[in-house]
Amino acid sequence: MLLFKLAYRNIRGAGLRSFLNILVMSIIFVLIVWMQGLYEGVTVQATTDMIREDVAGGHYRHPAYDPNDLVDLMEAHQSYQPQQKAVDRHDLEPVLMINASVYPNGRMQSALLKGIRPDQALLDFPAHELKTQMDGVIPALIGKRMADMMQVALGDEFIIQWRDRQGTFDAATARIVHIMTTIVPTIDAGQIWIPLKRLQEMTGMTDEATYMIARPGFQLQDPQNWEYYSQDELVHSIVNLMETKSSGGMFLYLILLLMAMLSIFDTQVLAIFKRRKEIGTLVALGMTQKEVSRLFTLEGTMFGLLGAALAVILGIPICLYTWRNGINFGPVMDSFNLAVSPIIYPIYTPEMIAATFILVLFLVMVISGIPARKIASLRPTDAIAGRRIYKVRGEK
Amino acid sequence: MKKYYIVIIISIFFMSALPTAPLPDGMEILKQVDDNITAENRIMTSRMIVRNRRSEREIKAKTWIRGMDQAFTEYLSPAREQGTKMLKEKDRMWIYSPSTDRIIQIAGHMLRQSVMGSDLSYEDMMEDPILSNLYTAKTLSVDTLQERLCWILVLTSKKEDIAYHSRKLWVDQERKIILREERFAKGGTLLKETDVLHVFQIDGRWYPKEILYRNVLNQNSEGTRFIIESLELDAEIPDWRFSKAALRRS
Amino acid sequence: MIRFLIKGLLRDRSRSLFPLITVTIGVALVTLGDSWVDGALVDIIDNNARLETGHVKVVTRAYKEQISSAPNDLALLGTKDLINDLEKEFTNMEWTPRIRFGGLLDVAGEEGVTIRQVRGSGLAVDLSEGSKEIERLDLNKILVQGHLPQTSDEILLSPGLMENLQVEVGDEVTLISSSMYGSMVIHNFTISGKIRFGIVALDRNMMIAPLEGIRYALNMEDAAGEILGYFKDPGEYDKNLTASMKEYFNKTYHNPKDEFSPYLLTLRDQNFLNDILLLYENAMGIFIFIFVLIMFIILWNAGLMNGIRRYGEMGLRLAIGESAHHIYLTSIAEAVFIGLGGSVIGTLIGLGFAGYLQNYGVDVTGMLESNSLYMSNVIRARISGSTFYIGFIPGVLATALGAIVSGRGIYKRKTAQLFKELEV
Repeated sequence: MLLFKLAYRNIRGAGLRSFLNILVMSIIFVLIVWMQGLYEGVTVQATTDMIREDVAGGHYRHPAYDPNDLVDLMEAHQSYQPQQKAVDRHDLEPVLMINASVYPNGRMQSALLKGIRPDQALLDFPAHELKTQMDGVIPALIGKRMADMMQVALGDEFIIQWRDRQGTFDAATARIVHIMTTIVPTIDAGQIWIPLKRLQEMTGMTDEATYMIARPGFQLQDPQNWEYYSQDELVHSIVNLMETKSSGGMFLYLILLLMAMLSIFDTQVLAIFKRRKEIGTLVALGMTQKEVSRLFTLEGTMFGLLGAALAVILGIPICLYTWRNGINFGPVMDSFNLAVSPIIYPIYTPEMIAATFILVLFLVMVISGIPARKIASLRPTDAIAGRRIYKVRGEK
Repeated sequence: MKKYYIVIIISIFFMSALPTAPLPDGMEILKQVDDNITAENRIMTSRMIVRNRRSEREIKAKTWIRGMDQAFTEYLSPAREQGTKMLKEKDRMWIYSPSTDRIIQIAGHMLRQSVMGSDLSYEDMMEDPILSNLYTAKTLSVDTLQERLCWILVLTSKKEDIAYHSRKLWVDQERKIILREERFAKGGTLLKETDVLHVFQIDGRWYPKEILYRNVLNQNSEGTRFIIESLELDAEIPDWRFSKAALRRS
Repeated sequence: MIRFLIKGLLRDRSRSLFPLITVTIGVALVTLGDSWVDGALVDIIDNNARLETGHVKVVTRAYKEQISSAPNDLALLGTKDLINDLEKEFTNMEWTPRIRFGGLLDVAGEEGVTIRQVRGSGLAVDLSEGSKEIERLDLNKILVQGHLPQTSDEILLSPGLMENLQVEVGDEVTLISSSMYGSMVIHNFTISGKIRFGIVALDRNMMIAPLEGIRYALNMEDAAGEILGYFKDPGEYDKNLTASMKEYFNKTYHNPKDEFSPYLLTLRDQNFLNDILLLYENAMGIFIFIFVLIMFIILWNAGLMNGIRRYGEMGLRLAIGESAHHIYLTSIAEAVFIGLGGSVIGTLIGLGFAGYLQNYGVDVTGMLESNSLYMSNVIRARISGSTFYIGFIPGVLATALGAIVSGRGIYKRKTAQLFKELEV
């Protein structure tokens, strides 16, 4: 405790210099925590939105369904009658997909028709908009990206041409009943959502689906011909992507940390040099060299501690503000092909903050301990006399 | 003046009230149409003119047809298509390109690709040309097209696995040849139109000389014209012509 | 005087060495940080330009509207004349036609019967002699097996395609695609080599073919989907320059009534690059600012401590009659020299590391699935103009500022107390 008090007094005594060190430490703390929070925020947001709007508890896919190759979906559908009970309980939400051509403004485009039950309860997805009853016109729900691609607006009608399970052409008019602003590209780009029942009738694929969305925690005892993809597997690519992005940022943390270490090392070396008389005196007064060495290490570490304290004072308003209001990145996020809204809410987990603080403080302790080790090899008589701790060339 | 109108109105009334001749059975007409085009062996040279937004291309081909199931086409021009051959046997189709010396079966989604960039897909070509095999027909009414009296037939598919659920045909009453055709989706949307622009007579039968195909939904397409240059009916065609080996033979 | 000060610094290592080391390390870190950040930015521009966007790109307007699907039926015609015109208009640029295409790759078994088919997407580039495309796409580097196409009928495939087709270098594959006029085309290629981009999306189903071969196969003689423009000196790339090129070209060559007339797009018009780059620029600017700020504080601190360290020396100099003003100025001058020296050495060291990272990079594998940024798995630093001077700002300024602040103490010292302080 004595050491602690002494160390604190010494730091306070050094005034401006100490303050500068503490400031550097605190800026670095805040920066690292803030940036990690941002990465975490993007990752969590991307995954949570994807889970909420698309993945839920995972998907059961038809073995021929490959999201990377959607040119021929005609083979990728099968009956979910064996799982009918789970479907009725809304533990499973069947989705049927077929290829179609759409003709907005008379120009042909290809699209994916996806059928979903309007009363689905697993996803945060405006399927209920599809309940709108219309005189033979197919109610269609599309995302904003798709609306841009097709150059259509709410209420617009266009022709959809598709084939039923036997390959017979069919075409009908669809009307856009809702344009959703979703940030999840996997339910938006190139896709037109219509009521499942309608699509099943249109194609003659009664009670059939391409994939089924599972309620979180629900697992089919006997999945038969359905291939299960867990939630983790489906969001894996995003987590992966964010890890790559943040690993680029790691290098910058590293440089920042090195700078902080440099600053503390510098201070320590000079402090020991300048205060060699004091060291001698302390030893003469009965402190062991180890204790003195510890005192100096503690002083250095205290920069880190005080920096952390200042970081809390500086950081809480910054982090709180961005946490509440988010940071608007504009349309950029869209182009990353990630399910991320333009406004990012950083997420600061206690673990992350604690880990950052502990890691940095540990490094600070090690760094401040290195110059202080020299004290141990110091002869008290030399120290009292104020002789150099670091040998000068030619000196014995 | 007024009297004159009244006379017209009355005469129209009487004319429509007159017992019209009962419309002939649609199936009967359709069979006659089918019979008209049916021939054991045919050899035909044709031109296809494909127009799109920026270009016009002409493709010449010679086709050997036996019955309804076998067809062999060899492209004569343009130069880069020359030697490309296509063999159709029942519901299978192969294409051979001389530059690669490969025979590729056209299946799956490849069937939906257009033939030489035209408004016709490979699938359209695979279709059974005997419409009475696929559809039931009903005579709808009488119409005049290209100054010819026509029956309008409405065809509804007999089976499920047929690309076009229904069709509307304008059949020349006298010549038993289709002058116009509309193909509809299951829901009734018009998808494709075919117009016979010229006809010609051979061995006492009438044949289309020039046909215009259009994909109605795609407004970018300007249609494909198909012109028969020469036609030889009941010609001698050796068996090897319809074998895969013939594809490689030059 | 300057010589005297420098000699002093050189001979008294305690006076110079430690501050110099601090400045050096600090400046090296700032330099490295800057080059790192720059590397990230240039990487995005560069990768996009080389692979996809060019510094500018000429397409037809109709093509532009559906650019993501690369509709070759809307391609530019008469590319030879167009390129001639472009070369005359913009003498500082090089122009190269490219065709993006897709299709099935088909492998034949015995008697030419199909045994496997895989969908792929391809890029046709000019591989003729004198073309810079090989260099631009780094083909020699990404080629992991075989050789580059030497005839128009050779093709490079990504590992994913080769695996799925179960083929080896030297085997023949058939491309089934669709010509510019929409007809099915079939063309044979010999696999001359395997290419690995190190980008998951591309390594799955990418192929690169010689432009001539694809032009022939797709019936696109003298046509191309896109004409990419590159500055002869890539360092010349500048967003304002390309923006003015765009304005000029589209005013002169683009006919709004003809959807097939050529239209020039800048790098930033494509792939949302404008937004991405703006974000990076801002974020990176802030980052560098914080970097410099921290370095500034550290060096100021070091300057302060240096002043304190030489307290005794200053006292002695005052005692023997040197004016406080003179001592103050010389200490600042010394600081400037140290700052300069440290900055030079630091910059050199920083450049050394940056150079290493520029050449070798840091591999961060475990890459994304789909990202149009084409960020590679290897993150590299980039030495740019700013790398050379960025370190000097905190290096010299901060040390000098440190001396200015810390040296003020000299004026406060009383001669009467000096000897007492100097007792050793």
